Amino acid sequence: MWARIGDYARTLRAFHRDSTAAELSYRGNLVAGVLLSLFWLAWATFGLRVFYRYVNVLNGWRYPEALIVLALFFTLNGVRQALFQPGMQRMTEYIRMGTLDLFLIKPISTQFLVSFRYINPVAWLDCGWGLALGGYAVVRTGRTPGPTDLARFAVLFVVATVLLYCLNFGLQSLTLWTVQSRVLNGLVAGVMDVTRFPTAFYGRVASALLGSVLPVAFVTTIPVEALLGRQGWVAVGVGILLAIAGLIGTRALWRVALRGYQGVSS
Amino acid sequence: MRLYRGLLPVCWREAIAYRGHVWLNVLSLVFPLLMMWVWLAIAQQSGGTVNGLRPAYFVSYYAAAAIIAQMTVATTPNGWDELVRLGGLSAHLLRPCDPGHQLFCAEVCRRALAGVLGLPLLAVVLVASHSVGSPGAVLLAVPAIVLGFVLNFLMTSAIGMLAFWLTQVQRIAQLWTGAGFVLAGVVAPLRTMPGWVGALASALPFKAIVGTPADLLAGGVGVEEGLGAMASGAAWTVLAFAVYRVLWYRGLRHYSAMGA
Repeated sequence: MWARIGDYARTLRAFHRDSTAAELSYRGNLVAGVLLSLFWLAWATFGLRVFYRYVNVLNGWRYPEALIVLALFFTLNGVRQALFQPGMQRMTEYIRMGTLDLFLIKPISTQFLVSFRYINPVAWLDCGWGLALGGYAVVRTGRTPGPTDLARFAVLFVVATVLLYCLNFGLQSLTLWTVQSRVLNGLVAGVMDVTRFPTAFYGRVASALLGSVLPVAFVTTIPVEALLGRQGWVAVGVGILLAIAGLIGTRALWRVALRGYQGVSS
Repeated sequence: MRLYRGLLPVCWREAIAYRGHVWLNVLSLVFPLLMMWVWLAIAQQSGGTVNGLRPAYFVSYYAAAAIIAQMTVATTPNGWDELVRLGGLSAHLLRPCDPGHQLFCAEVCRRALAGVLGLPLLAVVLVASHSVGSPGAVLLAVPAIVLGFVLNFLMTSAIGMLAFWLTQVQRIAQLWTGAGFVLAGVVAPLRTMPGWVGALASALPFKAIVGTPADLLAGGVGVEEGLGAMASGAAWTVLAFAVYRVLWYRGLRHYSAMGA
């Protein structure tokens, strides 16, 4: 079991090295990527700031608190773009070009290969900026999170990452039927966009829906509420259950999708 | 002219054939919708209006901005990037016409398709929200949208020319559009922003691409102010065209793909 995990970790490192080397070969593009990432952060912060020119508290959220949500959005979006999106974007090609057939005969999990064969290392920058902004925003709130708050936040952060992976991978599995991964990737990005602000910003009805029917609140709002000491262990428990259910569900979906897959060469 | 008679129908059919991509455009409406939603919450909390702007204005403005952004966006740099990097340009150079014409036609048709689908929707929103510009302003919005598209196309074409030297230009192009995002008024109406942003936006070309036509439709600016903004947009268009052509001729001399 542990040897197996070690194998996967080593493979992941190799994929990461390979993708980084490919990225480094276009210097101008890389510099633009760094600037771009800073730029998105600047304008997103600016957009939030414009709201607070007109209000001090918006549906229970002060500016620094909402800024933490924005920062977490940036961090998680960076994780998504670094790890999950490259596989999603290439899924159409995997099917059309027959790469998936090659993946299927490799002695390693196909789910692992379609998810993590390509990585976009530049997106780690977004994570870095996001964490820095988040740290600054936490200081600005004037309240230091206690150890329990931090523990809850840490667990919920992992939950959010897993949920994003499930959303991405679940839709990626659908590509086996629709062969249109660009549209599905747009869908993930659209859902991600919603997490840019606390769900309370969207009014009571929408925020109730985002907390229950679509667990979007678990991506940024609830982890930040935990950090601010507004969520207890119940939310953490529900989050963990959701993440486990998501992993099992998407795994099952992937298996069903693969069973119906005919391959390009057969 | 005859060239366009041949190209346009082909490009139009191509645009229709990839109508699955229209869904991508629908998804890009999520962000403006969210921003609008938050403004409505702010208006409600602060007793009806924000900075003298009614909730109806925000509904109209964001609907107009979202649709107009889809009608004036240009993916040209990606086209040039691919032509130069993968060498497709060589084949194009053997033909008697400038490949720019083909990219232009393809883009016109894609934007027209977005317009055909988006404008009826926008009309419904504008009528329902009761925040519409004067008839003159609405009429002026039509040339304003066309101007916005041509300006954006030429600007992004000039950036696309950098592909001759840098090979990968997609991110540089994104940086340019990113800068435009705030200053064009896609993120928020320019009137809600601090004064210095408004001044900067008036000095730069982006506002003419989305902000001006959207405000003409939503009743944010009158005919006179709109004409002024369009004049500056037209000046930028001429400049963008000049830069694009100069870079094109220099780039061609620099171009050395396989077999060229």
